[in-house]
Amino acid sequence: MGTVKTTKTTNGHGPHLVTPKKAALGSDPFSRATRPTQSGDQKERHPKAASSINEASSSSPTPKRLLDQLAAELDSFYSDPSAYDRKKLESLTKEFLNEMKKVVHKLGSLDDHPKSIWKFIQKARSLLQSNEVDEYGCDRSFEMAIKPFFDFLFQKYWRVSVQGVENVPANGRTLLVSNHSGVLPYDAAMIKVAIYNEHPRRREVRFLVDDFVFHFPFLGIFMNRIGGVRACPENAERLLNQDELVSVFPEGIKGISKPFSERYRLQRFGRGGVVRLALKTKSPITPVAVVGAEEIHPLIYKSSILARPLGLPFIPVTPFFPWLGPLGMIPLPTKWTVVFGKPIPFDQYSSKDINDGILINRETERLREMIQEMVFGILKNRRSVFFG
Amino acid sequence: MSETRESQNQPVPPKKDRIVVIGINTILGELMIGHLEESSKIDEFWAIDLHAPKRRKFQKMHFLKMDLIEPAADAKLAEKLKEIGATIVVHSALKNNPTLNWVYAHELEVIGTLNIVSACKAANVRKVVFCSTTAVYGASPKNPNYISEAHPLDRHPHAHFVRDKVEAEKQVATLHEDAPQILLTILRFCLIVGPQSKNYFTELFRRRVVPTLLGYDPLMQFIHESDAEAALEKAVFEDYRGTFNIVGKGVIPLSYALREASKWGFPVAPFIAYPLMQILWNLQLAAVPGKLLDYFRFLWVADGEKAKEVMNFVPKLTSKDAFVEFAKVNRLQEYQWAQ
Repeated sequence: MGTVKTTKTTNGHGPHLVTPKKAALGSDPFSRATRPTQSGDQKERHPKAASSINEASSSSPTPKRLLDQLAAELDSFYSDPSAYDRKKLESLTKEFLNEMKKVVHKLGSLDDHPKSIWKFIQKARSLLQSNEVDEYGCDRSFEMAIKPFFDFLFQKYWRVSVQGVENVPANGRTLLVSNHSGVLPYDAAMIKVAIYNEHPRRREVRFLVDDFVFHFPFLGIFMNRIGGVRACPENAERLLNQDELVSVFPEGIKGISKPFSERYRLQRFGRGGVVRLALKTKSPITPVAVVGAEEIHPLIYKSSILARPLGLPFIPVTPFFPWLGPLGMIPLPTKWTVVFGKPIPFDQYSSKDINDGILINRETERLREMIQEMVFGILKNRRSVFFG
Repeated sequence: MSETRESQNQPVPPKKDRIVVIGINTILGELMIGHLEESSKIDEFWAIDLHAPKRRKFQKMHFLKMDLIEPAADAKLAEKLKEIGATIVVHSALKNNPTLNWVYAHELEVIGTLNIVSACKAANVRKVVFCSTTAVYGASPKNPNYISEAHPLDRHPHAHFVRDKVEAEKQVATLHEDAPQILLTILRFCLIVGPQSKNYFTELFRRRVVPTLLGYDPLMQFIHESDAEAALEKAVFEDYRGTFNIVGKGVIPLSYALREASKWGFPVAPFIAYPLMQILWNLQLAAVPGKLLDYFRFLWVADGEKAKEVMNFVPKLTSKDAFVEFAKVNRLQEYQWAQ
């Protein structure tokens, strides 16, 4: 009752307050409400409401005016509830709620100029991105929006043939350990697409991304939105404990930066972090061999000194790259083969073994040799780089 | 009442806790006294600060004006605490915002905390609740996606704002070492957003156009005031020893948050943004010093699992919802009629 009275007192200088402040937000939330054509439409649509408004005031309805009318009606209602005709109040309330909805709708979105370029940009953006990410920053809508491109690479460009995808467990935690090659980490993307397209359960792969990529401008955001997570033991452990499928490349930068002459020779597997992780989280390791990625960017030379100011680990020199400019960044259409090996269980070890450096080193070396064998096995059967 | 109990040397704590809130003009202090005023569990509480609260009147509150950084403030505070018979001390006297007067901020946060710690030791209170922030972990490219409580604090913080908070945390840690009989709860809150909250982040985000760093879009984490209040309540009225991250559910990238709030990001290349912001900050034209821009560039998301498991604290709002709530209220406040 008290609030109603206060609004009634402000009714005296109502006309001044009806014109809303424009500078505060740069937009006028009432513009639609005060537009004469629209109010005319409303009169046709809600004749009852319109007539009640006409009784109270002849000017177009705004939230403020409606509020004042409501206050007046409520006052008369409270003064004699039994004799009051409720319909007027109901229609007024309805009208007010309609107006409020419009205002809230306005507040929620920026578009006060329906045909402006910003609205177009926003619409385009909403096709590409959702407004939520999962707890690691992966945006599924974005992932799906760009997936056709990777599908093209997978099916048409590199014609990836996938073998042994049934070795990837249908559920539960698993580490996918693969060889790394090809200057840019396309192999990570192809493993992800391979499992999504060909695995019966369409599992989502989380790949661990090296620091320099993760904190590289734009590229880091891109990697994060498509499901990449910064490579560090804490993250990997957390992901595996949530029973995710995690793909790792223990060779790291050494793998993608090896010269063409050393192709398909696996580098050292870090410091055994992968095996330690598998021991700690008791997750099986599925070895993965990728063949064909080495030849997409044949690396003849790499410069570390030039790369340092740019924050890159190296600048590659291929037969095409610096010479053809951006065209040189197009990878060659080689024929790829991805083979998933039998999972190696790691749950037979106890928690004590995590500190056993020799054991971890031995297991790491065994894993490396296993993937190396797989790679050599595929290479033996391959007759052509471009046609398989 | 408590004095007689003390004289009888009864180890049993009195039924009604005597709560002292130190620092009531910060957001957490405000939430705390607001909650205590409404709470039916206590009849009275004490508040210590330099300035009395202006926004509303408190019936249950006894306000004690006191400067924490004056010489011998610790002895004075210990005396006061004994006089009150305090059992629970809530320390929320850490600045919400970075300030140009960093000498004063340092005195208040580090020396003030030192004084509070020694006073609590001397007065032998039962419990100390310390309100810290997850900013103490530091924003660094080396951070994992979810920082646990065991993660070491930022070793070399650039900004005074963070450095003082890390030092204050160290002071409080000595309390745990020297006086293990005192139940110490450290709550590390992430960015608190809401209608009342005023911190460097919300100040920046009250504007229409928000500067961001070109090419970086970190995952941010927010907690709504109501959730922060619930966590504080749990920490005060129930007993949990240890450090807890108090964070909202999930994360939201900075650009998504801006879009949700219909604000425009203005991307600036980092190598320009850092010095530019520092200059603007020195001229008091920006809400954030250049040195704090790391917090808009790298990850500093904390893991709230421990609070969920031990304290049984589950925030009601996700980070996204908390931010949207904040943005809505912020927009409504811009209209005269909506106030």
